[in-house]
Amino acid sequence: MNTQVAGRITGIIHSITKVPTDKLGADVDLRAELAIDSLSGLQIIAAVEKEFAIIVPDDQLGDYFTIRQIVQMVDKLCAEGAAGTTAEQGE
Amino acid sequence: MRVGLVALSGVRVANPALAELGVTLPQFVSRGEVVASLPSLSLTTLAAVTPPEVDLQYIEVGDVEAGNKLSTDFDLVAFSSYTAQAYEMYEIADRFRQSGVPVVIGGLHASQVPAEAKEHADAVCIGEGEQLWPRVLQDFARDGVSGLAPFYREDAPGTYDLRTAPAPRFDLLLDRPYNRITVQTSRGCPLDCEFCGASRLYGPKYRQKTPEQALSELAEVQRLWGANAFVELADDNSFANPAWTRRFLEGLSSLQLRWFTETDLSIADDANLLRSLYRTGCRQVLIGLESPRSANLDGLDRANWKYKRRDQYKDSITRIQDHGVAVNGCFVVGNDGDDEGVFEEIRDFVDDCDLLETQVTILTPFPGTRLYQRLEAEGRLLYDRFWDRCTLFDVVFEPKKMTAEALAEGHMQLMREIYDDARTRRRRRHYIDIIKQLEPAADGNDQGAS
Repeated sequence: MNTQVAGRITGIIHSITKVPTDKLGADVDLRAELAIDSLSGLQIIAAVEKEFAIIVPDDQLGDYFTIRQIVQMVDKLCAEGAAGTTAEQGE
Repeated sequence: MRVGLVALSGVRVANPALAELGVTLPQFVSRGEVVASLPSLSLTTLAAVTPPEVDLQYIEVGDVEAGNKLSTDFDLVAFSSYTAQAYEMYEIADRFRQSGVPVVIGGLHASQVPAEAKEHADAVCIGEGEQLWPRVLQDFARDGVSGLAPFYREDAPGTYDLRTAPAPRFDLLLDRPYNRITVQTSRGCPLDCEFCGASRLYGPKYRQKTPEQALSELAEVQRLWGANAFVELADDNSFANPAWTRRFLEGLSSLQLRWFTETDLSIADDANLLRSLYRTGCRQVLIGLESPRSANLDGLDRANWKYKRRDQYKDSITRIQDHGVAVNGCFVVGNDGDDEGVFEEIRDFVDDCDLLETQVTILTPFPGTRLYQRLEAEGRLLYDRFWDRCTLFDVVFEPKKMTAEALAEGHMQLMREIYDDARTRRRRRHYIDIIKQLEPAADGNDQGAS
C-alpha cells in the first residue's frame, strides 16, 4: 500500500469524523466497525477528490469501505490521469 | 428495589413484499437501520428521575422471543414502545406478570389507549414520564403492587417545564452498538397535523430545554462516546425559536459534533443560520414536506403553514442543500387527494429538487390522532386490530381515490424508482459536488456558499 497516500487519507478521515488516527487501520471497515455514516463517507470522497485532484466514477461512489480500498482507488485514478496527460501531450 | 426498564427496539414492516424489497435497496434500508438502532430516550429519561438507591437495569429487546428470555429477577418492570410493537410488548409484559413481577406501561402508545394497556399492566402512565414515574416508584416502595394506582395522569398535560428536566442517563447506553445517540431539546408542536401522534402526547405548546441544558447533554454524549459521536436531535422541530437557536448554535460550535435533526423549511430563509448549521456539524435535516400536491396540504395543519409554503418548496430545498446540509424530504402517500398518479408526481418532484434523501411513508392512523377518529367515523379502517401494521409502511385503511392494493404497490414501485442505482449515484455525486464547493481551498480561502 502507498503509505504516503494512506497517511493523507487517514488525515482526511480523522479531520471529518474525529475518529482517532490510531483506530484508522488500513483494513478497518469504516462503516461497520467505526459507524461512519453515509454522508460522512461522501464527505470523505469529496475531500479525497479535492486533495488528489481526481474524480471518482459515479458508479463507484459507494464501493469504498476501508482505507486500503481508498488508497488503491486513488493510486489507480492518479495513474490513469497521468497516463491520460502523457497521451494528450504525445498527440 | 430492583427495577427493569424494557424498550422494544427495531422497526417493523408487516408487508412481506416490502420487507423483501428493502433488502435489495441499500440506501432505503440504511435509514431504517439507523432508526432501528436508536436508544430509548424515554427510558433513559425515566432512569434520570429514579432515586439512586433503586437498582436499575436498562434493557432493549428486538422481539418477543428475546423478551421472553429475559430474567424475571425484578421487583418491578416498566415498558415503553411505539404502536407497531405494542402487541409484542403486551406479550412480554404478560409473561412478567405471570411470573409475579408487577408491570408498569407508559409511552406514546399507552398514553393514547390506556385501558387497552391496563389489561397487560398493573399501572399505566398517561403522559410525560418525568412527573409520573417518581410517583409510581414512591407508591410501589411504600405498599408494593397494591400501592399502585391503575392509572397515573399529569395534572396539566402538555405543560411540563423542560427547563427543569434532568439529563437522561446516557451512561446506561455505553457499550451498545448505536449509530447515533438521541438528545431531545424540545417537545410540542403548534402545527398539530391531523396524522401526528406526538402532538397528542406533547400538546401544542412548544417547550424547550435551555440552550445550556441541551449543550450540556451534548457535551456528556461526546464525553462518553468520544469526538466522533453522531447525535440525532429527537425533536419535532428544533428551530422554531430563533433566539434559542442562535444561542444553541453558538455553544455548539466548540463541540465539533456531527448531528442530524428535524425542522421545517423556514430555515431556508436565514442564510446565517444555514451557514451555522454546516459549521457546527449539522449534516442533514429531516423535513416533513408531506406531498407535492397543494390540495393535500390544504388544511393539514391548523395554521395551513405547509399549504402556504408549497410554492417555495423547491427554492428552499436548494438553498438548504447548497449550504452543505442535506434535506431528508418526507412524503406521505394515501392522502384523500392522492390518486395513482401521485407516485410519479413525487418521484418527479424528488428528481426536480435534487433531494439528497427521501422518505416516503404510507398515511397511518395512529391511535388518538384526529386522522384515526375521522377514518373510523367514515368506516374506512380495514382491520379491527391493527397496531402491528402501524409501521408507516403498511396500508390499514381504504384510500379515497385508489384501492388499498394500488396504494401498497404504488408505494413499493416509488421506493424502487427513488432508490434505483442511477438515482442513488446522482444523489451521491450532487452531494459531493456541493461539499467540494463549500470546503476551504488548499490555500485556506473559504469559497463556501453565502
